[in-house]
Amino acid sequence: MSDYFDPNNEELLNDFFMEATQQIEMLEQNILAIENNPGDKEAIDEIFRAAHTLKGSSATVQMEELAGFTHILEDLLDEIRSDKVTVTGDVVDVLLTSIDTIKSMINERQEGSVFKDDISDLKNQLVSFLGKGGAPASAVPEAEAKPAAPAVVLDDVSSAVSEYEMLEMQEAAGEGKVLQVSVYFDEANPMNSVGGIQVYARLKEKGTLLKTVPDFEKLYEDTYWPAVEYFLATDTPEDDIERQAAISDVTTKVVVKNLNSDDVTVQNEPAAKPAAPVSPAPVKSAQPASQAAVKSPVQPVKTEEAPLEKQIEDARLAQDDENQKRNIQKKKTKNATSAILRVDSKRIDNLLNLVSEAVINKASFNQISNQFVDITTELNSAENEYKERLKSLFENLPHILEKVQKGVSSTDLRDELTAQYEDLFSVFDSFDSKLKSTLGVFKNTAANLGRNTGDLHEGILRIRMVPINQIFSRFPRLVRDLCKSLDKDVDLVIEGEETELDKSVTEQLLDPLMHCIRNSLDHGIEHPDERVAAGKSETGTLLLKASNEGNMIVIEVSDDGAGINSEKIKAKAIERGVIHPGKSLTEADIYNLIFEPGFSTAQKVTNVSGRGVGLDVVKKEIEKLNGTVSVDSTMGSGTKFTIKLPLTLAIVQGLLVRVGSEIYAIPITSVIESHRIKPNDIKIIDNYEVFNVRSDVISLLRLDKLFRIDTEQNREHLFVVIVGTGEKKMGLVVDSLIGEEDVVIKPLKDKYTNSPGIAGATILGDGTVSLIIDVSQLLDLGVRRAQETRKQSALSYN
Amino acid sequence: MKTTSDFPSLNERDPEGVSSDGKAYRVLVVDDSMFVTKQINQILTSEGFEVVATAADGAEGVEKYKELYPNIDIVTMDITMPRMDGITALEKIIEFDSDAKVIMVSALGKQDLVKKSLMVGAKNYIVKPLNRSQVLERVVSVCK
Repeated sequence: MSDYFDPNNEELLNDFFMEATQQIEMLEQNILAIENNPGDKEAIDEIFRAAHTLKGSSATVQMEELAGFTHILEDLLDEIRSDKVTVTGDVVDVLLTSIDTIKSMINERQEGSVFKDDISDLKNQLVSFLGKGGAPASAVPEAEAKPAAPAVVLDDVSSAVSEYEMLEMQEAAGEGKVLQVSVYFDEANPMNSVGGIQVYARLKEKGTLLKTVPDFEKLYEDTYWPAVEYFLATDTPEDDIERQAAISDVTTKVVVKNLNSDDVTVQNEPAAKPAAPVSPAPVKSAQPASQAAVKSPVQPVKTEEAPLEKQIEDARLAQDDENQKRNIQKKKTKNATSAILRVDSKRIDNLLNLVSEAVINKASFNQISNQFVDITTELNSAENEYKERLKSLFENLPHILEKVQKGVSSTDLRDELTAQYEDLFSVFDSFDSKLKSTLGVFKNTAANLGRNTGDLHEGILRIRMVPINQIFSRFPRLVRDLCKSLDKDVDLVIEGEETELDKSVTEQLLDPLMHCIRNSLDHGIEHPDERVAAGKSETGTLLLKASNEGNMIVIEVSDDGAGINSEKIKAKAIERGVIHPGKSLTEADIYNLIFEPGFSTAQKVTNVSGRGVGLDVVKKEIEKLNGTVSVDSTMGSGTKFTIKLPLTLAIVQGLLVRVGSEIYAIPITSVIESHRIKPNDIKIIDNYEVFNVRSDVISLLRLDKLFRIDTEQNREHLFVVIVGTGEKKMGLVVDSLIGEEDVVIKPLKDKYTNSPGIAGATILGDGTVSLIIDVSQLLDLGVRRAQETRKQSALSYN
Repeated sequence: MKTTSDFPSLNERDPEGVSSDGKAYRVLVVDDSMFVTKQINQILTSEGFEVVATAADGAEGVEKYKELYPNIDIVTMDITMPRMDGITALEKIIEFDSDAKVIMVSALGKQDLVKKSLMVGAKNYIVKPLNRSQVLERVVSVCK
């Protein structure tokens, strides 16, 4: 077992979990691929490789249950790969169940416990496929795969070399000598069946291998040979050959024997004539000797076998104990994997590049600051000089006046003055030009800094961007399973899976998207017979599509099913009190009613689309991500859910507004328009302040009242920001609009600051904190109030 | 007077990954599993080897080898990898540099592939799950 793996090496363990999750995903995708196309060789190879890697790494981190199970799985995959088992629906089912088992094993491990469910049924199932395929009767490997088949006895090694062969070898060796190299292998080596070939490959470099016992083909089979004889024609000294054949960890003993020299000693013939035919007799006499040499060392090895096995067993028991201890320790590492983000190294390189630019920028600023210091000194000296000159001018004034009195002509006087004080004009010239040039550099550098910060900002955001495939890839399996349980036939088409969006958005998108897909499968797409009756193809199509639209990402889930019955929806909505019976609605408005809480038109509650807690949750989740969701449908030909999301959650464009002395940011995605109104434009209906926008009536919410901020009451104008999505709108009354700006959202984690209507905070350019308004919460607040009033008024009618 | 040279400490030994002339052996790790790559990296660097490059598949491995040659002493090569498997990569590397020292990394049960690669010219092999002492022993044996 691995003595390197340290249970406290959390980094490696995390890597393992992360990689295992990827492998499982790959397995699942490709299994689905071969279900559709059993001949997909590439997918089969992928599956095999993923299972194989999983097995290897789980063994390293000592997750025996996982390693054992994947080993069995790998056996089946191997058979599939070599076309011995054909891919049928049953095989795919078993494979998928196995994947689920592996998933739960990994989950258990991640939580610090060990998977203990009985999976022998599944194992038997896996093995039964092996048998069916007419595979060689390979024994069912136990969870703890034991070293390969035990040794084959080597008694017949020497007898396998006939006299004739011996002669032939001598012949082939020509001038060189023939060495008989007997190598004994260590059975404890995990790949003890490889040794024979390894030594073969090494000896091959030193000469010509004439023969091996057992022969080369047998060495290539997956059997362990305790000892192998190599007959080598070479010029290399025996010592070297011995060293070459000995491999630490693999061989236990090497005996090199020069067959020629044997002959020499027995035959007493000069070594210079080895080419001469060798009489059979001497060779034979050499034979028993080598046989003895082979036999004797084998014996002790064999007697040691049993205790050795016991030792291994003991070691394993000890290890199990240790594992249990480890599991306790592991509990603390629970769920640490979710924080890992895989990033294309190019993006990091790009960032590094930008950072180095920023460093250069900093250097430029340093330089500029030095220049400014120089310029200030220069200014001082110029100033001093100027003052001195002025002083001398003032001192000169009496003389000049004297000269005027003496009647010196003004022209002469001017010439004299000019000659003396002309330089006064140019005292500041050098300072001026230097200041100008430095200012130029300063402006340039500041512009660079701006550009650089922008790039850096974008680069950092790009780091968080992941392809949406990370969640799309889970749907083929989901759709397949759902179709089976609903007895429907659906093709899932995925488009634009390479579209990227923020990682945190991706993670939170999974559930809502799953809900939409379930809804389409359950309510949208009809049963095959209904489809045929409606003149459609038996197989329904579900399209999952992602695309970019400006700085928004658009995800569409569309099916070619029955569509939404708008009359049914409307009736239901009225029945549930979601809308007023008299309200006139467009088709689109009606469809979007299905996102209202407590709405489900499914005749029967199934475990697929739930108990009517479905689509309103989707809407809430999406709105939490600052996105919108809408639905469009055509009776008889299908339904389309459209989800629009901002690319990132970390930064939003905000409309800054002022209420009293506070500044709030409203995400621009939910701002529809803004108006400047006079206080008397506000009307009162049902105790609500409302306001007319064209033909619509918008109810107003005063932020100053909501957040209890003192503000000047008697103003000439008010500003109303109309926010909302689709059919739900509301006007927020604020003191003034400031403008649009990118704001970085900082979450408010403190539970004391968890106040409704606030999504987070941001820091403005001047350092003040501004709160970001959560529009969907405010809308909910408004709707709740409206519904309560409606209920109350309904009561009062009765 | 006490000097270290007079009484060499038994506990002091040279790191295995440094050749007799004091230079670290340079290793290229080719493995599609980041986990294994990291493990090999940790084991080898702890003994003074220098992992100069890593590659995630055979094709990348061959490319990196050619790029770094001759500044590379040892290659560890996974067998099952996407794009180009380890044996093909091994063949390509041997074709490029017949003296290349390549050590195969294989999971248990892939004996036939290990044998094949040994015949192609791999110098040794390591069996997964990796074991520190085994990795070091086999890598060092190839260095010497």
